[in-house]
Amino acid sequence: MTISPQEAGRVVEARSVSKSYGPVRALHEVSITVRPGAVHALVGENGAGKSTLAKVLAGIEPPSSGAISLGGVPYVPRDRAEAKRRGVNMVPQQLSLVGELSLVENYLVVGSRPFVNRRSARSLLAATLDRARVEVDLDAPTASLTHSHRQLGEIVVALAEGAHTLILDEPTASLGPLEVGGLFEHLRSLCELGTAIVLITHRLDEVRQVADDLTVLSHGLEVHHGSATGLRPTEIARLMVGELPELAPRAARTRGAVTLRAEAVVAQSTRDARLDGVDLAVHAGEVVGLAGVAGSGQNLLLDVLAGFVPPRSGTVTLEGSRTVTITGSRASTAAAERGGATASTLRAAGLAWIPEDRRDAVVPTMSLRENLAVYSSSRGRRADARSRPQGSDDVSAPADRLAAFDVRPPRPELLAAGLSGGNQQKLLAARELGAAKTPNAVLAYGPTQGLDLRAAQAIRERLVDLAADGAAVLVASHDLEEVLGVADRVVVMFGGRIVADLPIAEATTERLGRAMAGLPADDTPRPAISEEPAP
Amino acid sequence: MSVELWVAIIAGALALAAPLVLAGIGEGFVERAGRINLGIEGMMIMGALTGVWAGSLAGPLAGLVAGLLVGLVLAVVMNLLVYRLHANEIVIGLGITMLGLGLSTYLYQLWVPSGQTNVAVATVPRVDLGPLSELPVVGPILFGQSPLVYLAVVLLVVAWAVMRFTRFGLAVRAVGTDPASAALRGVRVERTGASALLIGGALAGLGGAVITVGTIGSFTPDITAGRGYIVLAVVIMGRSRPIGIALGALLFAFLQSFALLSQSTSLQLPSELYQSLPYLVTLVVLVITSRSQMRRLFKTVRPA
Ligand SMILES: Nc1ncnc2c1ncn2[C@@H]1O[C@H](COP(=O)(O)OP(=O)(O)OP(=O)(O)O)[C@@H](O)[C@H]1O
Ligand SMILES: [Mg+2]
Repeated sequence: MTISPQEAGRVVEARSVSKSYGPVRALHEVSITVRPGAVHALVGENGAGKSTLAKVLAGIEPPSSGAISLGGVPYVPRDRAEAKRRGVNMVPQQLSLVGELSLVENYLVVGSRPFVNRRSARSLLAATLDRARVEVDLDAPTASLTHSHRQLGEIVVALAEGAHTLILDEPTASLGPLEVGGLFEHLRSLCELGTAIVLITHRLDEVRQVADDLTVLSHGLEVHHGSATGLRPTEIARLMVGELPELAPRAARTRGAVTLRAEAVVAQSTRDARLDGVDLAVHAGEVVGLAGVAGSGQNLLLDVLAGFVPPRSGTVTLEGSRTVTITGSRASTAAAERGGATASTLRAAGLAWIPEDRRDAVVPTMSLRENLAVYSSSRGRRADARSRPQGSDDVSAPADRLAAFDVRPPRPELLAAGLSGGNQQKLLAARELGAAKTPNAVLAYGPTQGLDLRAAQAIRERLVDLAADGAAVLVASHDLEEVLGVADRVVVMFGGRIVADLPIAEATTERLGRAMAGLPADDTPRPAISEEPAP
Repeated sequence: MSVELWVAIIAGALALAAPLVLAGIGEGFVERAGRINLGIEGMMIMGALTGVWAGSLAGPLAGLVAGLLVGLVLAVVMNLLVYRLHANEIVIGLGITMLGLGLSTYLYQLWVPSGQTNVAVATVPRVDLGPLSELPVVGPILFGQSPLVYLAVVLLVVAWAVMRFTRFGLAVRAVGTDPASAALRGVRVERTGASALLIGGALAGLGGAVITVGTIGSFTPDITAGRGYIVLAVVIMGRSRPIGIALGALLFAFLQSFALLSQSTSLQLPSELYQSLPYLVTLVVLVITSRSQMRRLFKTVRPA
C-alpha cells in the first residue's frame, strides 16, 4: 500500500508508551503505528491495556512516559477536545453519551461555535445513520435508548464529528450481526477514503473480516504486531491467551419443574418495543437461549421477567423460596407496586440478573467489595450509591469470590472504576452468579460481552453449572454464538412474539436465521407471523 | 378591598420580584450545572451595600454595575475554594452568606457611623411610557415599572435562549446530570461549572443592588432579609427553569406586597402574621412541588 504525502501527515505513531495507575502498570513500552486507509485491530485479554492505549492516543489519559507523534511531529493532546480537533476521535468502551441529552445534543455539546444549529446537526447525523445503514432515534434522551442503540448512536456521533483517525473500543460487543455487518461496510468505505481505524475487539472473526494490521497486547506488553491478513482466529487466540483449555464435557442434567413462567404477557416499553402475548416456561436445570434481532422484544421480556417493567396483562411467576407472581392490569404500574412484586421481591426470592448494560449494575465509585453487595434497582439508569445492599452488605470472603471469577486484580478494596471493561463484567458475574446459595433463576443478557475467550468460556461453564445445581437459566444475546454456546433449547423472538422454540440439536443456524427474520420454518408452511411481513 | 389597592399590590409585587428573578436566573444556571450556591444571601447583601456606595459616587447605573462585580468576585472566591481547593460547597456557601451579612453591617457602620443620617442615593429613574402608563389597571402594573423589572423579564428570555440555543446551555445540562460522560465526551466540566457559578454570583450581586439602588435608595443592615434563601427555594420550586423561577418569585413577591399594603386595611390581624405569610406559603409550596418532583423522578426511573 502506498501512502500519499497528505496521508503521511496523518500517521499516528506511539513509541515506547507506558502508563501506570499508581502501582498498576497498564502499558509498558508499547509502540504502535496507525496507518491511514487501514483497519488496525488491537486485541488482547481483559486488562491487557487496550483501552488504556486507546485513551492515551485519544487524549483522554496522558501517558506516563513515551512519545506520540502525528504525521511525524510530536502530538501531545491536552484533552479529548483537542485530540478531536487534531482529527483523532474515539468511541470509548464505556461510551460517553450524556443520558439526559439526545444524540443530536450529544453531538452539539462539544465544539467551538457558541450557538448550536439543531436542524443542520440533525440532518448531518441522519445522513450518517443512512450511510452506516442503521436506525437510531436522534431526538430521544439517550438514556431511554437500548444499550445497542446507545452504542450505535455513539459511533454515529463520532463518525459525524469526523476524524482522520478513528479509534473504536469494542464497538461490536453489544451489537447483533446485522448491525455489525452494516457498520463494517461503512468502516471499509471510510478506509478507502483514507481514514485510519483502530478496532478493539474480542471477536476474533472480526479481525479476519476487516483488519489489515494487528497488534496483540498482553499484560501491558506488546507481544505481536504485523499484518492481519491470512491469520486464522485460532492463531490470534494463541497469540493472545496461549492454548485455550478444553471445554469440559457437559454434566448430565435433569430438567425439573417450571421455575420461571411468563403467561400471555403483553407489555409495551416507551418506544418501539412491545410484547404481544408471550408464553415462556424455564424449568429448573435447563439453560434456555433467547435469540432475536434487535428490537424483537428480548430486552423488554427480560425487563418484565426481572420486575422492572410491569406487564399490561398476563402473569409472570417465579417459584422460589416462595412464589412471586406479577399480574398485569390496566393500571399496571400501581398494581405491580401494590402487589409488591417488584424487582426487589423477585430478587429476594432468588432471581439473579445480569443486565445488558453493565453500568446499570456496577457502581464505579464503589469498591469491589461494596459492588458484590449492591444490586441494581432499575434498568436504564446508571447504578449508583443509591442501589441498596442486598440483605446485608457484608459479603463473606470477597477476595475468594473475585478470584473465583478471575477478576483482576482481585483486591476487594479497589474501586470498580479501576477495573478494565471486561473485568467489570466479571465482577458483575461474581456478584450475580457467585453467591454461595444457588439462585433459583438466572436472567442474563449478553453475559459474556466484553470478555476475552477464556473468561467467556468460564462464564458459560458457570451458567451451565448453575443449571446443573437446579437453577432455571435464561440467556439472551444479540450474538447467536453466545446463545448456542450454552443453551439446551433456543427460543426465538420476532415482533414481540415467540416464533420458534427448538431443542439445541435442531437449532441449526439456518433455522434460527429464518425464525429471527420472521420467516416461517421451512417444514411448516404456516406463517409464524400474521401481520408482519418478512423484511 | 378596592381595585386601586389590588393594583398597587400587584404592581408592588412585580417590583419586589425583580431582584428575586435576577438572582434566581443565576442560581438556575448554577443548579442545572449540578452545583449549589448557598452564598447567595451574602452576595446579595454585599451587592446591595456596594450598589449604594457606588451609586452615591457615580449614580445608580454605576451602583448596579458595582453590585454585579462584587457578586462576581465572591463567586470567583467560592469557585476557587470549592472546586480548585476542594473545600466543602455547603460550608463555603454558608460562610460567604455569614461573611456578607457581617461584613456589610461593619462596613456600613464605618461609612455611616450610627447617629448620622442614612445615606440616600438616587434610584434608577423610571422611563416615561407616556399614555400607556395612564391606562387603567394595566397601566401602573405593566407600564409604570422601574426599568429593572423589564431588565429581569429580558434576562428571563435570554436565560431561556441560552439553555436552548447555545452550546454552553447544553454543556450546563450535560455536566449537571452526568459529569463523567460529559468529561469523556470532551466537555470541560470544571470550566462549565465555574462559568455557571460566576453567572450566578454576578446576578446575585446585581439582584442585591436592585433592592437598594432600584427601589429603596438606601442601605440598612440585613436589608436582604433572607431573600437569598427565598431565591434558593424559588429555584427549587421552579425546577431551575426560567418560567418556573419567575412564577415562584412572583408568588413570594405577591404575598410580600400584599403583607406590606394590606396591613393598613381593616383586617385586624397581627402584623407579624402578615410578615411571615410569604415565608410560610413559600415553605408550603416548596414541600408540595418537591413532592411532585419526587414522584416525577420515580416515574422517569421506570425504565424505557
Ligand atoms: N482508572 C484506573 N485506575 C487504576 N487502574 C486502572 C484504571 N484504568 C485501567 N486500569 C488498569 O489498567 C489495566 C489495563 O486496563 P484496560 O482498561 O486498558 O484493559 P483492556 O485491555 O481494555 O481490557 P478489557 O478487554 O477488559 O476492556 C488493568 O489492569 C486495569 O485494572
Ligand atoms: Mg477495555
